[in-house]
Amino acid sequence: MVTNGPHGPERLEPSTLTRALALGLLIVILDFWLVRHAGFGISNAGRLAFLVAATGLLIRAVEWVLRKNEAEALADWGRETVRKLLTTRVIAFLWAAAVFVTLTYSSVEVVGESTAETGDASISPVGSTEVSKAAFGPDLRPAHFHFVATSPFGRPYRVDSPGYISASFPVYPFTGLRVSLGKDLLPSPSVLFRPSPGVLVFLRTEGSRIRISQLRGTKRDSIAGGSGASSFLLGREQAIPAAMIQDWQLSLAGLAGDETYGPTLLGWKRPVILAPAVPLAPGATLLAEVFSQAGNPAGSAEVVLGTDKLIDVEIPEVQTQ
Amino acid sequence: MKIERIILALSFWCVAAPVEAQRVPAVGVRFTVREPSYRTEYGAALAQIERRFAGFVAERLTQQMAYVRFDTSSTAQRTLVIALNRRDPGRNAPRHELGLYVSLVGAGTNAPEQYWVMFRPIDQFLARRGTPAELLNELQVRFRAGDLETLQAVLRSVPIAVQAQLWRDPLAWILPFKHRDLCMDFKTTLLVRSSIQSSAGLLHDEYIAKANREFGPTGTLPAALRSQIGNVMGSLTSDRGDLDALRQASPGSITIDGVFVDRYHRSENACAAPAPPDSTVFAGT
Repeated sequence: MVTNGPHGPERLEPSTLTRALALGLLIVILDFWLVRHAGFGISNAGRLAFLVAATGLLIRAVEWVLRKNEAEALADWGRETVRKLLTTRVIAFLWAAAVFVTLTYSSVEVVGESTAETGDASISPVGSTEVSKAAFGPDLRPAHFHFVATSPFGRPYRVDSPGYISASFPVYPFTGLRVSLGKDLLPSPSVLFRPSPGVLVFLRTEGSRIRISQLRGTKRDSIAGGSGASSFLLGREQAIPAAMIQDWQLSLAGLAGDETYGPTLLGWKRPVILAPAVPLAPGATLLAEVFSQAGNPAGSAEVVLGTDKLIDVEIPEVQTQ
Repeated sequence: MKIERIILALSFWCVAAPVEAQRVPAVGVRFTVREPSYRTEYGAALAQIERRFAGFVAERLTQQMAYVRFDTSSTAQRTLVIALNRRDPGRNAPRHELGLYVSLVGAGTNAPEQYWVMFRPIDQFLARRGTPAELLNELQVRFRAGDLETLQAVLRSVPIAVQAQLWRDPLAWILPFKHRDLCMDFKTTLLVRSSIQSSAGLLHDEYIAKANREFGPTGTLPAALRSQIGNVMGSLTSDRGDLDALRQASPGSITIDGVFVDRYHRSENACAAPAPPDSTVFAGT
């Protein structure tokens, strides 16, 4: 502030108290920001207690070591130094720097769908290959991504987590982004590949296997594989609805009394969980193939994924006759 | 003495002279898997399974039916084909009973394929098939449980000889092998197919002969017959064939079309190489 004094225009400096308050306010705001977007802060009770105790001890030590006049001289020097640093320019610079940092960096949190859920999440700026990864859960402990670069108008980020359909969200300064799995990111469809009784026979012998591929035009990319005389659940583990099991029982009615009836139903109810090499998304075309111990195709099924949470796909026998 | 020799000389006709001891006929053995699901299951390994099981069958049958030499070569005129297939191949159903079929293919055989023994019941169709070694073992177990009489019936069209001599008194065929050559019991019955050239034309007939004697007449024999001493002498019965036509046929008018085993009784005592202890001794009824 500039005013006309008896010796011409002179700068009116705010009082030291005002400047100290401005600095204190900055520190408090920065502390909140750091806790939210950097994962640490000075307002932590433990840290504050440590700081106070350390300062008290330091003062006592200085008083004990120095003579009275030396201590007063040191206090004067400290007072002068603080006064010099607490200039309006310095405070203004600190405020400007803080505003710049808080407007260009933010944070992202990804939290699981349930308290039991654990997993990985990753974020990447849209259009960039740079990927950051973090783990979430259990007990709804979120995956934190700190110091995420953004802009005053937000920056879009793609959020991925295995078992969920990827989506992009703008990350704004100050507020950051919190993504809830299952709500903000929809679960990706899980597919239960269920070998028919005739195909299950092949899977009962060692050396047989199932291969699941994603079809992209004429390309066939293998995304999962497994073995065993059971069904195969591709994607996130899902509870099998009772109605689905009732349907299976009806379809197996013709096998009642057969020694394979029980093992077949149990095999279907207890699937082997397979993690796909690529995220499953609606519209994707999957091909499941079962091969005998000799490597011959024994069963095959193709499915186009929809938005259903659990898709039941029976794998019929490949007709060789 | 002179009269005895004349009677002896007149008591037989040489039907196909000279009659020599001959080797038993060879029959090839082939095993094939027709069941589609098994072909898918085992793929290229199936050829080896088929070969090994055929070898097993040939070995077992040679032990049990010594009147035929079974082998897996493809040079034999006749082949015993064993096939693994559905009992009802035409039925479109998720489960099938599986069984072993038998047939004889090759020269002079036109018998239809027969369902022989069950391999797996319908409620085990969807059970684990196992490794090639397990399949081979299962086949061997099923084969051991099979009724060999059916196989013998299939092999009834295989001639064990194409030569024989007719002995007149008593009426019997002298066959070119001994009981021990074929591990043959005296209860065995043979079928002799012959043709007699008569004034009315060629008369084809079949005669059942009980292999209950060994040729060993008293007195001096012509040189052609001396080598036949100890051979099987098949006594003719009147069950089949016109014995009067045979008795009245002139020498040289009889042609032997083939000698077949009608009902085989294996004799361990008569056998030069006894069957191993774990084998099932075949005994026809």
